[in-house]
Amino acid sequence: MDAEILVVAEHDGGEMDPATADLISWGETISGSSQWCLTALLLGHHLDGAVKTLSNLGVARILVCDDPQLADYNPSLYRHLTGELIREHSPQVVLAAHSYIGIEMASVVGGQTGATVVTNCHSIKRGERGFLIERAMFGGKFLATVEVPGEEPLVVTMSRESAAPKASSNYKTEVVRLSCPSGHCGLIKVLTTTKPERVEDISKADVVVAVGRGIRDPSQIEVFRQLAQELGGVIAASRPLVDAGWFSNDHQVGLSGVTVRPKVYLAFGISGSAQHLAGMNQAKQIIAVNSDPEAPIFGVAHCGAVADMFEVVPHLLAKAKLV
Amino acid sequence: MKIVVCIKAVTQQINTPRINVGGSGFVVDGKSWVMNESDEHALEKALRLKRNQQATITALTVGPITSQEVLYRALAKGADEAIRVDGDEFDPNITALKLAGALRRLTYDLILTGVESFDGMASQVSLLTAAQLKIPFAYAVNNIAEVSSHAIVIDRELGGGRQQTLELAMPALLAVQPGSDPLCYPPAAKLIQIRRRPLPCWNLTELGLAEADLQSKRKMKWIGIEPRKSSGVIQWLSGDMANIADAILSKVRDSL
Repeated sequence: MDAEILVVAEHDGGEMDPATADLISWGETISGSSQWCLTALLLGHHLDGAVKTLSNLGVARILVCDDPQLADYNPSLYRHLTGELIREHSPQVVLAAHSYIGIEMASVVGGQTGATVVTNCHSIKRGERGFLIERAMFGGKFLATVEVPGEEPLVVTMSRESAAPKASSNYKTEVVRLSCPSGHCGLIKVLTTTKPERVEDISKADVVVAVGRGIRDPSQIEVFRQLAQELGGVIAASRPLVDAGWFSNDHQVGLSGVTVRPKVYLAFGISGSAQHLAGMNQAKQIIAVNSDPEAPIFGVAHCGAVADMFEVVPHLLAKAKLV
Repeated sequence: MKIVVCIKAVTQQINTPRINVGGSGFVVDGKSWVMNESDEHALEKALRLKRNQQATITALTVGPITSQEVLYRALAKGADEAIRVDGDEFDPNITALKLAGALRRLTYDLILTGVESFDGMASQVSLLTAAQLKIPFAYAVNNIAEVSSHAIVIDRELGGGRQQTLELAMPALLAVQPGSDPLCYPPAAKLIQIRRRPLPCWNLTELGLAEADLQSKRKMKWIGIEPRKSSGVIQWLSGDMANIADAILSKVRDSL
């Protein structure tokens, strides 16, 4: 094993984010037959469960720093620790999730090491001259392929829209415990970190009826709420409607809000920003209604209708009531 | 307080972009170049700070001549100065080097910019610029709560509904979320009047950069672009509204 691939494990209070398993699969894919050392970086507190999960995911090594100071994401400390480890290990490739924290970590590594940073990626594989990476561009309407040299350090964030290949490995995992510097404050001080109070947990519903910018007036929401009720599901919204104050944050689907994986996701008037798609693209059946045939939501939908949402919904509601 | 707002001109009306000669970026035959959404919200935050306390605002962009449009708009909205750095970049690593070069020539207490551009979608230019300048930064900022002479208190998102309040020593960089704050619209007469103003354009030499240095850092080579294919399994529903509703309901029932 010569080179190292470092995966920045994404978790919430020790509960592993599914994105981490995808990152490990991508790591195994690009390692291929060259047997690069697949290492996971795990920062936080109360991490015993997370260490076990990572071991089962088949990484060769886990660098874990378990400290009360790291219980919440602390930018100064996380950046300091990550920077030190990167300098020490000089990984060939760093893989992080394209999440708010992953985005910050990517820039920290890139800034400190001069590694090339390629973000919001849908796939990565090795080509003849280096790595071939697909990423969404131009509002998510296009997928572009970029080539980066294989011999230079690289930092990649993988979009939640990426479909990680199935990979298997049977490493015996080595766990390396790291100490956390105390009293490190840096130039950024965390005053508070809060988690949302979920009045209604939309992530548990089998059917999610989601509405987006197509809604022009809050009075137009009621009919979709009734449809959700008839289908035994919940109503949800994309970010603009939460920003407008028409929905509380616990109804927001996307990177900023809640990630859902329902049996059915009905999207009405949602164009499908990358941030939104990242929160729902794992739904089993995605049905989209939008008047714009170019809307990126159709890129992930299993079933779609180019139509006026307000013309379809009365029919849907009437027929749903009959069932 | 001196604020620099980094903005980008983008167009949403595009045909398929073409890769340029050399593969360093794209040729976009776009119409109506507008200010990138989250950058415009960053500018609004700067304008609010200017209204509430003494501040000067410099708008800064990296882009071709067409991107002057957004600098005029920034000036018409209330920015004091505007500077264009010549270039047409799609590599955030390179854009950040150019922005950092320009910012080293300016004095600033606060740098504001958006979280992500509509076209590049990398979410990296802002943070890599801060990393170049070695100043504290925060991503996904949705509120500036307090500003003192040496520090700024902000609220930002961590994803999954989590929120964090941070105090950053200044100078600092904030990558601002597009939000619900109302945008101000400059009067047309002011826009017309401001177009007569010549805008400085800085080249690489003025940024203290050499093309050879940039070339050695250009690692990204674009080799393909195509419209996003659907999931490959999309089934299009057509017919009248009643038919579409029937088809949707039958899909829902089959999936439960």
